[in-house]
Amino acid sequence: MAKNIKTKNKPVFILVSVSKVTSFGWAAQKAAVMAMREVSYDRVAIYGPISLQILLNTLSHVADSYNEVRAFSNRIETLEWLRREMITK
Amino acid sequence: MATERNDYKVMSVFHITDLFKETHLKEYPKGQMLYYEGDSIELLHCIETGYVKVYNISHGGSERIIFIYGPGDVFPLMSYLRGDTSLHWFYSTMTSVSLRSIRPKLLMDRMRNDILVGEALANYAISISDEFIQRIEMLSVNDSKRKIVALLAFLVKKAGAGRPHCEIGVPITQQDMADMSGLTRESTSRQLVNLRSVGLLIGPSNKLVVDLVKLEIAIERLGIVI
Repeated sequence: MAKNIKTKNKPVFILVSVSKVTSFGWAAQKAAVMAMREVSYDRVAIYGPISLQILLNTLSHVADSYNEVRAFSNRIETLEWLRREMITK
Repeated sequence: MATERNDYKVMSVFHITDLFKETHLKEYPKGQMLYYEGDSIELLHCIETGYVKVYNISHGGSERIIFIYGPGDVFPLMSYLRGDTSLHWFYSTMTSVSLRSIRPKLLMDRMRNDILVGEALANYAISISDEFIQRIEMLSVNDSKRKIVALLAFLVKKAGAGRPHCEIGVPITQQDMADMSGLTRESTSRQLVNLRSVGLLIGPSNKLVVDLVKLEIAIERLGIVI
């Protein structure tokens, strides 16, 4: 879907909730890093419990995508960041 | 030593303190402010010796200790990995402290393309975050005995030495304990006297020496999650 939007020359901003995720093992971490590197997007904003916020922000450092992918602890903060990024983009 | 795990370059063994090995050891006296609330994170510190307290200041002006970092701890890593742009608390030394420090950029460079380093750092920060949450939750509990027992368990974990009688190695007054548990000094004092009468606290009253067997029984009876 992101690729389709990109081909139409439109920016891709993604909002993700991981609020219901209960575990995030090695395979999921690896997949998250791959996705951060390979999926075509402009910004990804994620929110969920604090443990996942820490883990996902760390993984975005690992993927060298910290400017594009951020995790937050609540939806309001997440939307604020996404809006700010949409304006500056 | 670097090895390959699938398509990622990873470290076979990584200890968080490895990041600080090459840095100079710096000494700080007791009572030194390291960070003020609202400061940006300029440096990440690893404690070699001594203790650092994390606290806020209430509307009434009193200091409330939320957390204590001890030898081997790295701070404010949790805030940094959470993505906080500024700090929510004050950080100052409780004793004389020796620290090794690095700039966050070094940490970012070290994590890049190394998922095991990232995982180790995240796991450490998550465990600290869990301890923070437990401490903050305990402040809202409406049972003074539970609060003091939970606080003693926290102090044993962060600054205790010895088994089965564990001495808390960080200087802490009854007022500090009251502030750390959200109680008055009188309630705190009463609870400490009670715990001393049942043998959970032992030795001279100017020292905090905990009988770990009795502490574990109390933790279980009171349903405290550590």
